[in-house]
This record gives sequence, structure tokens and C-alpha cells, in this order.
Amino acid sequence: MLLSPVAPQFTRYESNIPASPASNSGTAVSNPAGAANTKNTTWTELIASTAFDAELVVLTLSGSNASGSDTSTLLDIGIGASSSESVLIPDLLAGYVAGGTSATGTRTYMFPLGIPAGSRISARTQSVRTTGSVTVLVELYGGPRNPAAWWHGSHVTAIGINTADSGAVSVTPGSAGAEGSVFSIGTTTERHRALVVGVQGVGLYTTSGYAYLDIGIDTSSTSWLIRDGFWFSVSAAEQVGAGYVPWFPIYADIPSGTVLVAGAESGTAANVFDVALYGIT
Amino acid sequence: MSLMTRSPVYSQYENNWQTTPAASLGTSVSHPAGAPNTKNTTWTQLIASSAFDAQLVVVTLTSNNAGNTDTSTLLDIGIGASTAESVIIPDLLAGFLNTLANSGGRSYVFPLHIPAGSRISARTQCVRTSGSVTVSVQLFGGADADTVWVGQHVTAYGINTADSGAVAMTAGNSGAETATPIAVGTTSVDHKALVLGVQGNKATYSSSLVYHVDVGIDTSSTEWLVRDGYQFVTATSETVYLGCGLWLPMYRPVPSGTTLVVAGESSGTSESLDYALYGIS
Repeated sequence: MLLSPVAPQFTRYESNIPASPASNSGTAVSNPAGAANTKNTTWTELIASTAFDAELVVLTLSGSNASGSDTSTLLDIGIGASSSESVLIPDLLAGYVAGGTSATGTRTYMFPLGIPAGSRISARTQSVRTTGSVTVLVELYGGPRNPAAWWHGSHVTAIGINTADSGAVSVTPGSAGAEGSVFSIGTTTERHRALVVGVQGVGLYTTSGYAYLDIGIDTSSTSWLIRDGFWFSVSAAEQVGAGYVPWFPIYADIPSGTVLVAGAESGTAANVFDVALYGIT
Repeated sequence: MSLMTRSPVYSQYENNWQTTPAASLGTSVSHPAGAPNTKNTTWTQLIASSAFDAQLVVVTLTSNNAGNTDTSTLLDIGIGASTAESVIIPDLLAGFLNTLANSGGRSYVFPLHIPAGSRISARTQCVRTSGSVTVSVQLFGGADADTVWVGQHVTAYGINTADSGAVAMTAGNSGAETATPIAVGTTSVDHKALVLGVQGNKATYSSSLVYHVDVGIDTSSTEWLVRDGYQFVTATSETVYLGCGLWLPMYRPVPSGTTLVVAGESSGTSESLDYALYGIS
């Protein structure tokens, strides 16, 4: 293959990383104290004004778990002036995430998504708890030398969310390396060009373990988009983490009306977990 | 921002993960037993024959640490038939790694072409003559040729084969930047992207700290490519692992003859660590 004449992309970068290194890097977003499973009416600012047109958004979440507790949480990322925020990325699964120095690792979501220069970026949650928080690190990449060549979306649709319990669709993996059943996550309502996968825990765990996640189309005659492409661990301290392995988006052309499914296999214990998908358009 | 009309990137994927999920991912590559700090004469196969033209290569390393022991390791990724391998990614820093489920993973992301049908393998040299490192390889492909920049080869800078390490740097303490940037090396060819590598360089680490790393050009009048863009964690179990955020490549045209530098800061009293940079051409 000849060297591509196209110059590199992503020459610009910014984040809300703190000045001094810390275990949970970014900005703490507190769960609303008023009522469980209800979105906060106020937002927490992450970046006051973005410096460039971002075309890749990486979110790393940390520090939301509590041993012995269900910490199911949904996180919205918004843009807009204070008290005029609009949701850009809805309902990210944000519970059961350990601290940034923990064994199970943090949870990272990578969105090929446009955010205009000058945007104020903020976040809010709802949670089964009325205490606690999640720390949100947002990293923005931009500045491609050939902007027309880099695909990125303009909005995100969450699929499989259950706002009543701040969770998503529960998936039971097969045990000891056997593939489990196929679970419907939801049906797309518009065309998507990429999918991002989200997980968090369900209830309390008595056994630690590991799992692979598969994502596909159709419950009865499944066409798999990716098999065994996402590894994560579950700890008995109610932590679900990707162990510092990057989870990249699934780039595929997904028409409206598509039934999206998930399957999984575990190494030992078949720990149940929640799965959501985020379609980028 | 309007929807781009180009096709999404990376519609193809494969890896070398084992059938049953486990604490670490991929293939165990044993260190040569014959002599320390000497490359193995034999290679360990990771993928027998790659299924497509890969355009992004993600190498995640785990399981190469021992308490109170220097585990400095250099890992080569090669392609080619058995006994005819050629190095495609040289001298990745591959020591001081726990299992993936125990804060072990360090991931390297290379925008690099590997032709379909390639046999991919790995070998190490290490300060030890026992032990191994577990290597996960994830290949992404299927992008339009001009939607992503893809390099053809990788050059390592700062490597010290005598101790299976690289350039030592002690970051600034408690959030203070390093007083003087440390030169990692001078580029010998033009590059369009850089990848950062880190590992420990001594037998015992006395404290668990969070670090931020900066990468730039020129020691005296430094132009920073990324400041605080790479975070990692050290543990007293002699492990060095990624904390919050992803380590994505730095996409920048870097001419031949450029002096590459690193600097950094930690959350406490910093200790010496080794740093290398990998230029992609």
C-alpha cells in the first residue's frame, strides 16, 4: 500500500483534566439529592468554552461505585449556556465505576461527534442513589487536515435505557466461555453510522469475573457486528470496568427500524449486567 | 454541524483473544531464558493470518510484573512467516504490568498498515530471564483509503537495549511541572504521528502516584504537542498502568532531525520512570 497522501487528523486537543494529577480525573458531577431516578435540574460545567471544533469526544468516567450498593446512574452530556443546556449525549451508563487507580479500571466512551468551537460543555445525572457522584473527564480532539474525510456525527440516540431504575437492558452471559442468549437492546428510530457500547452493573455481586460482549442485529437470525470485541471485569465490590482496554466505536451503517442485540460470555461466574447502545447520526 | 457524507471508518475487526474471558487478554510471550537484555531468537505467533488490511493496530500488554523486581522489557511486534519475521513495531516498553483485572493494562494505539494475510508475532528482551508478558492485538480496518491516515512503519526513540529500558525521567512533585524537559531522542525520518510509551526502571516503587505526561519538541524552547494529555498510575506492586483517559496517538507532522522531549508531574513525590516515543511514518 502506498503512503496515503492525506495528512494526519486530530492535531488539536483539550480536556478538563485537573492541574494536579488525581485518582479520579476530571470534574465531579453530584447525583441529585432530591429524588432517585430523576434527572438533576442543574448541570455541572465541564469546559467553559471549547477552543476548536471538536470531532472526536472521549469521556472517561470514574469514582461512582460504592461497595454493597446499587449505583446505577445515567449521565447526560450537554452543551449550551448555563440554564439553557441541551442534551448532546443522553443517558450514558455511569454507575459501578471505580476510581482511576482501581483494579477494575475506569469506563471510557469514544464518540465521533461534532461539538462546535466556543461550546460550554456540562453534565448532569440521575441515579438510584440520592448521594454520591461520578467524575467525568472529557477529552476533545479536532483539527483534521482534511475535515471532509473524517466522519463524525451530529447527535446521539440512546437505545435500551430504563429511566425508572437508571439502568438499561439486563444481559445474562453464558458461563465458562459459552455464549449466552441474545438480548434485544432496542430498535433504532433513525439511521446510524456508528454505535457506542455502554455497560454498568445490576444489583449486588458476590463473585468477581470477566466477560466478553457481542453486539449484533436481529434476535432470531443474528448478524453480528462484533463478537468478543469488548472485555470487561466485574468485581464483588460492585465495580464494572474495562481494565484500561480501549472500547472503540462500532462503525456500521444501521438503518432505522433495526433491532439491536447483545450477547455475552463469562469466564466463570455469569454475572448479570446492563447494556445500552448509543447510535451516532 | 451537518452530517458528513463519507463512510464511517473501521468497519472490520479482529483480535487474538482467547475463547474464554480471563484476567488477561491475548497470548503469553515468554522472555528468553538464555541471557538478559537480549532479544529472543524465536517469535510467538499472535495471529496466524490477518483477515483484512488493518489500518489501526491496538496492542494491550498485561501480566509482566513481580514484587520488588525490575521487570523492564522491550517487545517487538513482527510480521512474516515463521523464522522469517520482520519487525513492524520495535521495542515497545512492556514491563511493570499486572493482570488486566488488577490494574494491568497499558495500550498502544498505532495508525499502521498491516496487509491482509499477515502472520503477526511477538518477541521480547527483558532484564529477567524468566517470566512473560501477555499481548493482546486488536486490528481495525475497512476504512476508505482517504478517511484515515495510515503509516507504514514505526521507529522507536529513547530505547536503551542495555537495560531493556528507555530514557529515565523524574517528573515534578505534587502538581509542579518538571523543571527541564528531558530529551528522548532526535527523529531520523519524517513522522506524521507519535505514540508514547512508559514503564518503570527500578526494583521498588515506594508510593502509588498519579502522573500526567507532556510531549513536545526541543529542550530549550519547547513547543508542546500535548500537555497533561497522558495520565498513568504507579503502584507499589511495581506496576505502571493507565488511569483516566485514553492514550491516543499524537497526530503531528514531525520532521527528521527534531528533538523530542517529555516532561511531567505527579500527585506526590515523583519517582524515576522510563519513557520512549514511537514515530510513525
